[in-house]
Amino acid sequence: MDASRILRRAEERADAAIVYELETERTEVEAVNGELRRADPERHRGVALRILRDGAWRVAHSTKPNEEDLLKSAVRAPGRGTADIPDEPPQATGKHDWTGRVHPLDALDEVAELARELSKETPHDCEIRCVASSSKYRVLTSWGTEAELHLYRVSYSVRVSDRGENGREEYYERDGATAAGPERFLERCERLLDRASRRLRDLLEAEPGPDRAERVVIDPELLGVLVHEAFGHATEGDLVARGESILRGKIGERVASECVTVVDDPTEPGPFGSYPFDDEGIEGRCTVLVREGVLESYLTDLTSAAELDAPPTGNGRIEALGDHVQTRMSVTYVEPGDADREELFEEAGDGAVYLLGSKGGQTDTATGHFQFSAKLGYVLEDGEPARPVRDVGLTGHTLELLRGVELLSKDLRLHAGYCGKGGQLVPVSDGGPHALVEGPFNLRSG
Amino acid sequence: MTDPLESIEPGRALLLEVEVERVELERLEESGDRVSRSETTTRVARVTTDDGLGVAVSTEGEDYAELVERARRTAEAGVGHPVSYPEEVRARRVRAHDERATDVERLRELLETVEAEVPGDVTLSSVAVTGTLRRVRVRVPGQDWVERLESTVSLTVDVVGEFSGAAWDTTVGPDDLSAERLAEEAVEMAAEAPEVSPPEGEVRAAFDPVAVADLLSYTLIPALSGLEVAKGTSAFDREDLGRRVIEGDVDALNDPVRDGWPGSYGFDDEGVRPERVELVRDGRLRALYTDLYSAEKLGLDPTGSGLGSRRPEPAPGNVLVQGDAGAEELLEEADLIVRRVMGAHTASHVSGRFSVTGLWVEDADGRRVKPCSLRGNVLSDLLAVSRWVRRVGSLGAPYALMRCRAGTS
Repeated sequence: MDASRILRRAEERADAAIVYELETERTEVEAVNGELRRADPERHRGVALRILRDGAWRVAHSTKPNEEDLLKSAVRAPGRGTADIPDEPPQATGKHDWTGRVHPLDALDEVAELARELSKETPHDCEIRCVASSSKYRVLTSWGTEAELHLYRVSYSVRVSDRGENGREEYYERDGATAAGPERFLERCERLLDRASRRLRDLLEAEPGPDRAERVVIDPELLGVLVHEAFGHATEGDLVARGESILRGKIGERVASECVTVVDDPTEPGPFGSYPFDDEGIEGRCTVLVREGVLESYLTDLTSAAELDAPPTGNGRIEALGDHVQTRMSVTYVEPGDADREELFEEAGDGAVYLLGSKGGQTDTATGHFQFSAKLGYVLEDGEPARPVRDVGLTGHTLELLRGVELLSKDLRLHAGYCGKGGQLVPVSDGGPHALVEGPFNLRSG
Repeated sequence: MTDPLESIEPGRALLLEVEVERVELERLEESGDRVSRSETTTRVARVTTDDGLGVAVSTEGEDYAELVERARRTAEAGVGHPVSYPEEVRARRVRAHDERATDVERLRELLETVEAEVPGDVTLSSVAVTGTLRRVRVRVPGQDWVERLESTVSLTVDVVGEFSGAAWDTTVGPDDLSAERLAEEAVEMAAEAPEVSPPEGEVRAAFDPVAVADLLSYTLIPALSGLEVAKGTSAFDREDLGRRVIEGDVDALNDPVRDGWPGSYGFDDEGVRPERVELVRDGRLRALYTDLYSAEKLGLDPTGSGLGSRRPEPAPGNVLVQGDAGAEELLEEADLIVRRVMGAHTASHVSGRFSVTGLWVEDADGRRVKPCSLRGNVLSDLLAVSRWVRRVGSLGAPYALMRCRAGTS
């Protein structure tokens, strides 16, 4: 397959075209309670062609690519619309090496053995997973992109569960990175498992949390998920353009308290959601979404940039080669403040609740309503997290939450995750510091 | 050409080939159509030895002999748990396939039906339809390839009016799907801005079948997976079989051979014939849905529920959950009627507890209630479940009356 020739031929029949080539080697390890359930290498390859014709985007993808079939499938697909791309979009170029120290296939046995051992030694039911991949990705576009990426990506998770007086509980932790291979798992998994086991023991002793709290302290993981889900999705240009965002028409307006600055930045190798260029061949860049509480920018892919008459921010992403591009976040976080974490606990006062981790959540971006469950909470007493509580989380309204942020700590932590939208999952990072937020809050959660 | 399974004993290997053709059409309010067509072929070899179970997966068109060799090396290294594949694969007959699932013109008609149903004062922000055809072939030593065909068509509608509205469904073919009804439901949800404040404290909430399907998908149904029980990540243990596990006279049936339902298939991805299994009867746990691994771990019979091309895991086919209450009587007893919820995926199949935001909620007088939080436990807070069910994707979901804690969102 000659990708350049496909692009040239597609350009003759379309207003814009993108060709993708992807080769991936991937390993997946899973150990449960001392038994190695899988340690499998996989190989995948695919080619896709995306064209803009008659104002409609059309995609053809195959794992058995044939030049004529791809062109025919893309060109003949019916569709009509008003989609466009900006004039002279900023294209990415060059070869980007985002590999790690160890190739995923070279450490499969070592990863498998460690996962098996750790899952056996843990005094709870324990499941450990590690997925590592090496991908060679090439993107060519009709607006001049000719970019290649050699990317290592690793993610691993631990899940521990046990039965206590209140029934069965589980605790889950995940870590992930780009430009890193299985060495990250080998170096860090044991620490992650220790933390999850400690938290599980607290959860097994925890009482149901209070229904309400006047103030909460949110840890970096939950703050990241809140900023991603409750706020970040509402900045996505495709949702803004189709009227599904509460932030539509609010550029320049105050949407959060003055101490809040939110950025989306995929440019640094390391975080799980990073990339040097997006899936439209646009160079990634740091976008300030909120500066000192004021909404400054939306995120865009090429189509939503044209619709909103906004600059392309390099946030057009896909899960798989046959998918449509959507506006997606990358590495989204609240910038840290200057307080110590202890100061936040002091300031929050007795009876406030410290919320840790996220079991997930959901937002209606059109109305701003959100619902999130924390993994665990602690009621604060004498400036310290004291009594563990379970079944706590936050429900409320995005802008009210952000306007209630009073104080941010100086620590910044990013967490790895997958973000679902329109049936596609893409790797992301989110995070921030610890945040003290003024309520009142409804803390009920499952 | 040499048969890659020639030297392998019956029950010790299985080859799988999955061809997926997927067509996706989207019509967006601001930019018009998006069309994609994707064709993927995945080859898988699974080889089991006394030491383990090896799996090799490729979309590169690798020869099966190479894949078998890779899988054998993994198994001999002690990876995975040995299982016994069927010595002969026999498919059940079930209607699970419609060729028109990837017919672009037919799918486009569904989009146009939705467009026609949405009135001018409501914005159709997006409508998307995805059609998928899957051809799955398996082979075991001494037998030729056996094939099953299946398809799904999924339609999602998002609208914005006085409020936001959404609806979705998945069926086997485009003719099984009611685009008119989905459009009407999304429009009805969006038509009115809720103004009534929600009650605080304990309420009797009746969840309609779409909301019930959402809750069950993250609580009861995964808790009935043999693998979750074997790993200790289910609300149930092996010893719970025969015991009461849900309040109320609730029945749950896994039926992977239900004609025309989208969770049907003729054999699973381990070559096992699927069984219709009564999982819960009158609130008592009767069975779990299992793949070969979890069945062996728990000392149960496999139910032919091993799905997934890499290493299959138990997955439900079509699940019907029913009680013995009349839907109308059940609704009459409710303080709130909850028609759509948000955040059901944060519910726990380890405890049964959930906390969701009710987005489309009505009070006993039919007035729209502002979005509110609802907290409860699917396993212990059920008061009544209706006999009548509505198909929501591959779930037959009833009305359910539950004790909940409600509050302002």
